[in-house]
Amino acid sequence: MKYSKISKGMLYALIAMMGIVGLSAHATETYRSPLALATHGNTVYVAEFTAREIAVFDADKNSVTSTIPMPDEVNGLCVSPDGARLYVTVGGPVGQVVVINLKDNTLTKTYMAGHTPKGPVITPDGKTLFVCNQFNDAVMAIDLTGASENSSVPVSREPVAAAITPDGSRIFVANLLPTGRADGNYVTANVDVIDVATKKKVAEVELTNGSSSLLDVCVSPDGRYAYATHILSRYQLPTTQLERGWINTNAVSVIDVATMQLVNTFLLDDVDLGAANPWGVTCTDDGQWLCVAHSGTHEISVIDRAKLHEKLDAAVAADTANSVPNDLAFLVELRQRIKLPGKGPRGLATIGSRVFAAEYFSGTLASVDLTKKDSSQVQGHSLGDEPAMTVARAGELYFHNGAVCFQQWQSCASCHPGNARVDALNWDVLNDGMGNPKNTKSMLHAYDTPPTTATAVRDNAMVSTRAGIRFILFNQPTEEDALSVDEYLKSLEAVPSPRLVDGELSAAAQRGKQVFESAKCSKCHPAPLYTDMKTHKVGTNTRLEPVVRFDTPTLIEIWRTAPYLHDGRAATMKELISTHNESNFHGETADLTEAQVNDLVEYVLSL
Amino acid sequence: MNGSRKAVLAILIVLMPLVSMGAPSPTEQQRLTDDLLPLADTESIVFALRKPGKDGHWYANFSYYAEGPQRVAYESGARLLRYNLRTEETITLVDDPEGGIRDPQVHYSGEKILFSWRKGAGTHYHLYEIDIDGTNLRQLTDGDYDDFEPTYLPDGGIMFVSSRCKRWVNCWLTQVAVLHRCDGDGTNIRQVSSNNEHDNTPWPLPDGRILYQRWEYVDRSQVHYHHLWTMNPDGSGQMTYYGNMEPGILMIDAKPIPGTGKIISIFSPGHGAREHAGIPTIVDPKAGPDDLNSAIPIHNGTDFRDPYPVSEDHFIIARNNRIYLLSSDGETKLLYITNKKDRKAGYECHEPRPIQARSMEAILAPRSRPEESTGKLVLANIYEGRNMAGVEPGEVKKLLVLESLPKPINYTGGMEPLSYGGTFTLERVLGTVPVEPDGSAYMEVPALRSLILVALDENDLAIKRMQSFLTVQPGEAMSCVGCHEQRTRTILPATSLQAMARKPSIIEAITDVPDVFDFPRDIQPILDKHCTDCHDYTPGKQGGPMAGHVILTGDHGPLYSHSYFTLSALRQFSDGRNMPKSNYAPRTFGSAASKLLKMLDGAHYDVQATDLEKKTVRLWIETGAPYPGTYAGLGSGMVGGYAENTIDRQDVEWPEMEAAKAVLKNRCATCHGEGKVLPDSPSDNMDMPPWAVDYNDPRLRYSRHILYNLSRPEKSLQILAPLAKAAGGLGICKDKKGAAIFIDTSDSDYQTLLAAITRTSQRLETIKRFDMPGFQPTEAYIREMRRYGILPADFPDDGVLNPYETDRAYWESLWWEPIRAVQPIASSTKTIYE
Repeated sequence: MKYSKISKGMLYALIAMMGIVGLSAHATETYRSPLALATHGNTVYVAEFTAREIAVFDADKNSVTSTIPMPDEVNGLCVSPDGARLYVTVGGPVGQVVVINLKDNTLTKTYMAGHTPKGPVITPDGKTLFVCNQFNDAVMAIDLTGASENSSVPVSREPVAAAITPDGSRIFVANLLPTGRADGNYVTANVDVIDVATKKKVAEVELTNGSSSLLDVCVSPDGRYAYATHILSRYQLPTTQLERGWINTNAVSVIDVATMQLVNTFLLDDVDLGAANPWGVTCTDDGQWLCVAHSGTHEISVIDRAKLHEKLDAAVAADTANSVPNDLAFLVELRQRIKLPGKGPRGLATIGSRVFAAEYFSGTLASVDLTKKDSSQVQGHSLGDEPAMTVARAGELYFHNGAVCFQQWQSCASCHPGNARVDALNWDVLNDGMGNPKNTKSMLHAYDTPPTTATAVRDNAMVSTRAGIRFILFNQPTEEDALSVDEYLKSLEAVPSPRLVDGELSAAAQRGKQVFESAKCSKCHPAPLYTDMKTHKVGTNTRLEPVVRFDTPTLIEIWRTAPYLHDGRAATMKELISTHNESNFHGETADLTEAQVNDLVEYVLSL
Repeated sequence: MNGSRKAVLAILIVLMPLVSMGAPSPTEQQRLTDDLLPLADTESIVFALRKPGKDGHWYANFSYYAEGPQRVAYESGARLLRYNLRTEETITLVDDPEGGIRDPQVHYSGEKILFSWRKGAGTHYHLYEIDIDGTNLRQLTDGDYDDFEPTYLPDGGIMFVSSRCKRWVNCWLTQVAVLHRCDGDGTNIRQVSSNNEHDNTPWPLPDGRILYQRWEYVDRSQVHYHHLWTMNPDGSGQMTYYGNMEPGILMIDAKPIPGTGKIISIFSPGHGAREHAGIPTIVDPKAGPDDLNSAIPIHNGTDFRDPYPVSEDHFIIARNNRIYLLSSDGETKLLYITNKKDRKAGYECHEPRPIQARSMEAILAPRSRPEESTGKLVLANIYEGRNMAGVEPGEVKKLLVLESLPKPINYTGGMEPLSYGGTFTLERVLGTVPVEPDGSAYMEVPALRSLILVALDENDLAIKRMQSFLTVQPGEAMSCVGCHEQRTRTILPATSLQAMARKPSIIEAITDVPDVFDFPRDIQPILDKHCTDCHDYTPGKQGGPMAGHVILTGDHGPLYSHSYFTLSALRQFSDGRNMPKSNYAPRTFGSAASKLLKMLDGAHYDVQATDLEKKTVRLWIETGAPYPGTYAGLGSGMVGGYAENTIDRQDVEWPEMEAAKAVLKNRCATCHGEGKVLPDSPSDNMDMPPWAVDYNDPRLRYSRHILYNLSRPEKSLQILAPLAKAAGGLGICKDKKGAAIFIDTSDSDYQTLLAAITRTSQRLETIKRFDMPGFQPTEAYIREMRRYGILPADFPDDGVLNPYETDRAYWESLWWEPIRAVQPIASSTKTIYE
């Protein structure tokens, strides 16, 4: 979608108004986009993101018995331990937590939350709710008794899911993305651990090198292990082939709850069949099965948890634990892959031996009865009407669909999670030669700002998209599929920066805007797209990438796409301006004062 | 009534005269009952009815044998039949009592059939298509080669095997067919496999790769490695699917089982059987290619062939002159039996396929670029691998890049005279590329060649070596983990690959030694300079005669030179021999494990070869230590050589040899009894054929290969050993009284023996060995070189040529020629590197 002529301020006002007014139940023109599930008793509560409602699904009747409208897009939900209340995280820059009384499904209270709240977890005593404010890089604690102020715990980067131990003492938080430079030898996202009593972060659990796109985390019923789903990227290798896990593999990291140490990372793929884009992860209540939703391949994995840990322990004993993250046959004999009837399973939840999956793109719910062994174990459940897909929606599905990839190793979303943004890794793709890795670029505004790629090797985004399908998914795209992806990517809208204050530039950002002019940044990065779409010499060429002129990227949403420069060497914007521009080729920043630098950074990260 | 049923009715009406009336009676034939429900959607099947090939080898059923087009490997008589499972009517789509018909496959649309046909009395199989109603027959390929085992590809092309690759089986006397692809109309034929041995039965997998049988042996057993591989439809990504490490079993006719991720294949025990007969076996690839538990036979019969899955648990399958429905629990239901007349005539059923539409596999985007001449290879970490214990990081400095050269002609099942119990193939040195300290390598290699990599240390000695070959397509960029890593493993490098920080290495040629070695030309002079002073039949300045009972002269024995035989029999150089063994421990195979190199380097008295001499010997060892450096040496220059595994014993008929035999009996047999029996002629191999040598066999000491000296007959051990030293002999054999058997050369028995050896020497002088002046290759060699276009079409059978140059021209003619890009990629997309 072309850059809107509505000012940003007006946009935020509109959103805020919608939040207050509370839109009614969805019209049938919108998709449901079931995203997350919570269960209590025989009920499955389905968070429908786009439809802005909760579907209440009776697991005995296998049907939706009622729906609860929400004031904004629904990101997550959890049920209070006594089953009396449902806590729903909704909204974007002005997020809220909506409290529903489950006796009559009415909205009783809302709390203000941060930017794009999701992954709510509640303590066993029902008194505190923890919410991941994704774009604030923080987890907030809400005192549900009202006795104390809410507090906020900074976490690594873009917390998207959380799980609390059964004894309520610790919360494990899945951070979507790695922090830091991308051009080093060890790049990984973290699982952060929060101590509930003190509401402080007590550990950052580093995962295996190449871990990114963490999407969910759960804790086993016995409280011993936490499991996080993510992509395990072989970013150090040139992307010459997909087979045998050469580019992206799909993984679960296992963390020892007591020691807060990584036990190991094992692969969900088979040697000749990837299990693209693992999302929801949960254990059955009896702890026997670990279940993972594969949003890219439209199936779930059901893993024998006891055998899994036997095998992990055996690897330690045999001193082969280091090989486990590379073993594409690790789950042979331990795991069943069960195809689901819908498309794009994301959130999972269980009732007894039944696993439910929210199928995002088909707008449906799937259930799998683990006590049955034949195909009758799988059922698809309608959540109600679902409109036909528009071209853009079909493109969104294609973008997230690992089944179009050779052997289903990955989808476009594997390197571009978060709706076609970035994985914060470098990749040596072959479009500009081999041996010169480049930091993943966001797709936002890609169609408005030709040419594409850091060294401008593609004329425009249409060419890039088709090349990506061909050379990275190793699929021969039809023009129809490619056009739908074009439409999807063109429809992306910038998420307002978390640094805005009430939708406006902060005071520091306003000062920074002046510096942006005086330091000549605006020369190559002029509004409205903050790129002149030309290549420029910015002094960042290296022996590996000797090209002198680099394509000027847009700065919109740049707060979200660290690290920076073509090889991700600048972990933060401040580093880019202060450390990586001594030559002054990249704007005249060498002589800025500390305060000016900070203001400039604030401005740029507000775009 | 649906479309296909209407069509069948129409066919029956129109083609009634052609409908065979030979349908079996109900007592012989089970009707389609509930038991056959898996075939509910299948009305008819198509199959080939033909007489099986004459040869016992699974692959030898097309074209002619080494002696020429007058002796063919196929039988004549075949039909393409369509059989209605319900009405039991048989329709003949093609009938050729003089020809051959094979390998039908039904198109995805269910409306036409692709098959291979050797028409009438013609020599070659070619690809044809025919509509399922028997009309619209059209020929797709032509030429002086055989095309068969075709499969449709989802991209609209066809993959098949063809003898256009112009090579012969390394260990038989028939021709090789390897994978090629072409467009749907038979044009743009392109070879995609560089195999020197057979590829067979390609079939697409649901994920778009092609599954096929690949037979190979690089420095290992000729009869143990014919297993399952995959490649992409453009030939890229060639990799083992199942097997290639554990020896034994021919795995062929493999096809995916729908909805399971598994395949069904015929597993033919040992080295396979005639016309693909074997055990139907289901393979699950999930545990990797080396997991023996992943292959489950579903029947214990060994005479099934061509299974075709119709569901997860049911397969149409041929068995001799019958076609069955086979279930995965081993139950069989008879579908068709050949009529009595055809059975008696020797007709059997082959390749049954259901005639119905089927879903298309995924279309893979091509990775190769035919307009280029090279591909790129990235090796992540050479230290990652099985059996690498003891190799320290940084120890590997280079990779030696070799290529395995195809054979233009072959005559027999053994490797002689190319080697004694060792290589069947000549290997060529391309050169070396560096390996970085972190174990990574990045190189540019010629496309479509059978490349072998050897990991070398700082002294250029071999640490590990490939006993398989790799092939890169033009423009392909291929990566591997390490050195024979577990095939279920990927890699997580600790740092970025050092080799990727620079341009790909170009293979650095080794210019001061030959690229293909010839033992008499390249190695014997080194032995003459450093060894034969002591290791000759006469004493030298430094020692001898026959020091240590070892002879290293270049004298001719019946098949090999004495030096060549000695070095082989005494295991002075290390190679794979003809053994079913792979993945050797580091430094136990090749130059690092070769005693000969140590002998030349100060370990043996004062012997010290020059650096160049040591390099020559080292690379000769690395390239398989051949005797002749030209394939023209095959089938020639041998007394008591083999053809079709049969030894030529014409020398036994010579009167001189009969007389000599009597002498051996009278004068030698008393001592040379059990365990020390002497050969009675230069062709007497004493049940020790060269392709299966037991190096511990004490009888090797008396082998014909060392006892007969055809260069200097009077220096033959056979007569030198019993001759008294005073008379110039070695005086080894003594009678009970301790006297030499022959006091002097005037002994008439001595003369008799010498006369027989002299006659043999004259025989060799007439037929000539490759290293003798005036040597000419066999007629068969010249005939094939003419056919390949290496020699002019009018080149006479006895024409003069340089066999080394002719061989080179032959290999070079098979090198990949870049072609203009055939098809542009999807609209407005730039190609790689542009």
